[in-house]
Amino acid sequence: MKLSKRPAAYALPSYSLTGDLLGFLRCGLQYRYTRIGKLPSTRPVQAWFGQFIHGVLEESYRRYDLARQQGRTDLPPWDDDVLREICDLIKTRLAAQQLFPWGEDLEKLGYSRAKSAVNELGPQLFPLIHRAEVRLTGARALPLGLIPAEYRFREADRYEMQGVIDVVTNVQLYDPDLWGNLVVKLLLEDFKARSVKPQAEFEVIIDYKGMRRPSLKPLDPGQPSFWDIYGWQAQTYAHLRQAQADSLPVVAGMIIYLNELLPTRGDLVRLKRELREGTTDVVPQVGGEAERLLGQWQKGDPMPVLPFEFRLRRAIRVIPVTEETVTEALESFDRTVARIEVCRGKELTEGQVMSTWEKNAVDESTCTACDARTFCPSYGVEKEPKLPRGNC
Amino acid sequence: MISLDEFYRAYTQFRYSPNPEQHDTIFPGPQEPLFIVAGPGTGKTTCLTLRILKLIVVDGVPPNGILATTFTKKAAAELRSRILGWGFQLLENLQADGAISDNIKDWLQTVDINQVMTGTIDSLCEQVLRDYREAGSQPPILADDFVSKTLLLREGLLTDGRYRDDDLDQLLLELQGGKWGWNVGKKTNLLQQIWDRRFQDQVDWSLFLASGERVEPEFNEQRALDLLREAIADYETALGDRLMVDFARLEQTVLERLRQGVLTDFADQLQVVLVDEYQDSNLMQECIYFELAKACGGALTVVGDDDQSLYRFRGATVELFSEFASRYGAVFGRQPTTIFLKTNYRSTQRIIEFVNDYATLDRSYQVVRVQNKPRLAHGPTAAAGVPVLGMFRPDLETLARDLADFLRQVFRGSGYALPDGTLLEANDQGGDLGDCTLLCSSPAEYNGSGKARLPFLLREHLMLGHRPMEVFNPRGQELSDIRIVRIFGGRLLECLDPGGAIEDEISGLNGISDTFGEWRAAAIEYFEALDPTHGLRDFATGWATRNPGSGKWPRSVPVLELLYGLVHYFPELHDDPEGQIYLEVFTRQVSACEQVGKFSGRVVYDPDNEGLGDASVKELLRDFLGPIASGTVKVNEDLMEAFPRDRLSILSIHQSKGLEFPLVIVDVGADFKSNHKAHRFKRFPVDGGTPHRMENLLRPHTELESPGRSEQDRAFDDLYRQFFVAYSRPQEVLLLVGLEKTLPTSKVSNVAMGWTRDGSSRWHNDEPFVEI
Repeated sequence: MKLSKRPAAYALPSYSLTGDLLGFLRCGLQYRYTRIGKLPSTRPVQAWFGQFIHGVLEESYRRYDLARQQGRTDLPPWDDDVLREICDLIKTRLAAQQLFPWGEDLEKLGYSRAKSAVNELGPQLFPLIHRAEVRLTGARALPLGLIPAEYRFREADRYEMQGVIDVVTNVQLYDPDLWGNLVVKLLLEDFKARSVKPQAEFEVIIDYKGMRRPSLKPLDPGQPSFWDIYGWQAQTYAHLRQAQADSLPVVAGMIIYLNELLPTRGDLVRLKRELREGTTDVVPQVGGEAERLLGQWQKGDPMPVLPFEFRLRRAIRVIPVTEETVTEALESFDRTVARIEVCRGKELTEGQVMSTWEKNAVDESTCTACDARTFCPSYGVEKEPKLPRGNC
Repeated sequence: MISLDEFYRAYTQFRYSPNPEQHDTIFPGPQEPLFIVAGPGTGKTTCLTLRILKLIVVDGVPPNGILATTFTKKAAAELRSRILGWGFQLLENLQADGAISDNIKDWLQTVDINQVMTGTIDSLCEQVLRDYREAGSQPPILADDFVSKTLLLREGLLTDGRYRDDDLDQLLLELQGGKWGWNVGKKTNLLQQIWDRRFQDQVDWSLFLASGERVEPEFNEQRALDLLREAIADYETALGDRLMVDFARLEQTVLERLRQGVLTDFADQLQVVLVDEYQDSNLMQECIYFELAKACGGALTVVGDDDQSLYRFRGATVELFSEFASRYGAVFGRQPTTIFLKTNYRSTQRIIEFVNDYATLDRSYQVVRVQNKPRLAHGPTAAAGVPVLGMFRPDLETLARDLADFLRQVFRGSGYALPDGTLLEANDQGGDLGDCTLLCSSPAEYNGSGKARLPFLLREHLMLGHRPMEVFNPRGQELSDIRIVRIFGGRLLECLDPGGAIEDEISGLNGISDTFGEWRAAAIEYFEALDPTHGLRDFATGWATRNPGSGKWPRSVPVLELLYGLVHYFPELHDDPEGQIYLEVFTRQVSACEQVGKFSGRVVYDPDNEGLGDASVKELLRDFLGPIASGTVKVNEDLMEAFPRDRLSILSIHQSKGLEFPLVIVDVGADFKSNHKAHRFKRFPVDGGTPHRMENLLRPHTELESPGRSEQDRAFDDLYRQFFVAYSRPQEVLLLVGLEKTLPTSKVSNVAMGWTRDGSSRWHNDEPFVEI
């Protein structure tokens, strides 16, 4: 009597757009250690600021929305003590998760940027918001053609894609309250530039990023840049959102680079360089106030207050959503999922981690923050761990 | 919407048609409450999946109106995968069906089955509290098991020296049942169970705390309860200060909010609730499910099997399942439809017969089973199969040797000849050891006294010969005994506290100092074998002396920096997938330290205040390395790829629940050489265990009523269930193994060997297995 063969469990892998795919594209080995291996990072610096500002915006919207449901309009700008209370709430929450700003300066900057985000961006954005923190899931066919047979370790024929949209906005162009709205204005300018005639009612999905607007120059021409990657995120989110029953036609994604609302000294230095080199897509209007202030400003000077409209333009990136762009983005994600599955399959077959996972040493900042940098075969700058040194 | 016929037509293009009883679980409308009693191998996940898909495409229930919960993350992932995998296939086939109108097809295009909500009840509760919280409130932060135990210990027991109090000690000791291994860790465990059950059983807490009646010379019950109240209150405060909830509090919070009506946004969208593994639910969960069901007009489907209820020790109350029909009726004013799934598609006829006979072996057990439960029937194409086999030997060494030999012949040789001439062979299309499993009540390689058990001896014997075979036994060894863990842990100790001077000052480390000593020795031995120029020497010495070579040592350094610095020198940890799993335990413990420690997982250094630095190291020894050394924290099994194809999996019976293997070996008596009372609880209990005593203590103060059955009877019931699960795992071959002394003809009473609780061995004259 021949025994049968035990069938493998049918389990679809699940990949989160930001946690998994972006993490893997940043560096596969780092992704393997932190996301799959669940090893915490010693330097979650980005994590504090990004989470802080998300939290403040989310909480602020909640309050605005609660008031709206109760029939009141409580739009920012709000008083300093209200903002401080919200900031403190989020700070406490992050502290309970062991996330701390690594210095007083970062904390102050966090609070200032949060104030700018709520008080300057809030009045333009909040009235447009339909829902916040919208969970997305969708299943796609696993690109088995891209996974060599010897590395196929699953029974699955599909994978699940997951994400969370920060904000879904509904724009009704006929709504007179929106006629002065700067965000809508930027959207319409973008449509006009692309000769797109928008419908009367549409949706734009928005993602906040606690970073500055990336330069157009790719770090490695052979690899997708963060500019590309965040673009795909918007397309994919739009695709998943469109499948939800309460959605309107999704015509664009929007990234709001929150740091641009309150640039630091370093940010301005970088901006001036990008303007000189022509590697940024949002430049000040010729003859305008922003051009004048930036032109005059030198590194040692007091910080200028750039006009809000310019800062908003710098902050907002509109990503057009069409069938073609969505298809291209989904295919890019499929390819990335295939790459991750191949790495997993290789690890299972070969029994090793470092040689089987793709590495990406192109972006220095990814490597310097990585706890595997001393033994990573792709990063040669630090060959051994250093003993701690400080001022005692 | 499409018709049921169209639904089946599309489905049967890629799967077998459901049988009549399965059909009975699928066709009822969305509002119908169902009580599905599903025996092993009867396809309950299939039924759940099909019912959900049918609700969507035939009844037009929007996917986000459907909520399905299961007991484990793996089961939730499997259910979700089925819903999506079959769902998309189904939709494709429907689109291709020429008989379906374009209108309907257009509508089907809009159906987003991804929106079905699936998960464990804990993941659901966490999501609900996060997504549906009020402005100004904080989302919950979950305290893991270690964090909650540490806070219970520190804030609950150590405060005011409560752990030393005689009355509290007596109360807890009576729950424990015996002084063996009695220490503060065990007391903490009991406290945690009481806390959990407070919510799981919906205990009237103040009534319970005031119920102390016994006043004896050595024991004042009320005083003990008073101390318990304080300990628990301090724990609750400690959790609250950290914005944390543990799992029990998480679910309780959701229940409270549902009752307060502040989760209407969530509840209002629900139209149907389905719950799998309902036999493992507790009263709190029943309350949650009933609240959710109220929001959707009583549309609740529960699925489970009381014969497979193994989680009393985690607070499960099987009666909630077996009495579901009346309990539901009392709340909703109507009876659910009861459906028995009895056709087992997993096993051969012979195995099903064996399992049926086993379920009905003990008369007293029948009283607690769901009424009118039918015997399992075999599937229409089930082979008769080979008889159940038994391998019993005079001693453990011989048993291990012969069992290894059996496996070698089947999986590495040309087959094993059974007494009737049948040749048992591995599958010729890639059959391997992964088609086989050994189930034990415990897969530990050594017993408490350090003696090797079957899992260890079998592993040794399998490695012999020219075609060695390996086992996969994640729970076989104590984590603290694994070579790389000892060396790495020891190196951490020697860097933090070279020579152990600080460790010597810590009181209350109990058995941990022995393990620390072994770790240090292993690390030193490893160190001494290193090349003199090896980088680890300088790095480790620099840390041990707090001397960076040039410059000064900082005031405070996260211990994670030391950890990752050392990891650099251990490819076993950073390049080996297995090592990654061990490393994660260390980093998880560091995170826990950050959450509960005064020094937040940092090593402090102040040359003017050595005491401060020492205190930070003491905290790390106690809260970071101590729990790993003592076995309190274990590897995260979710990080492991399941069951390698080329190894023999050795599992506990609990781990095997829900799984199936072509060949299953069940250890029914490898540990039992005699009728010794020490292991009576594993085979023929004289009294109950801690879970039963907990029930006795707390039930009088809940709506659940005091248990009618004695502790001993409940203990017997649990054992019959355990072996029912074990015996119903195999597809084709079931092999019982043990010592000869445990054969039914011997005097060792053993529930697994056909003994009924009244003391007779039903298999005595009629062994239902063939000896090999």
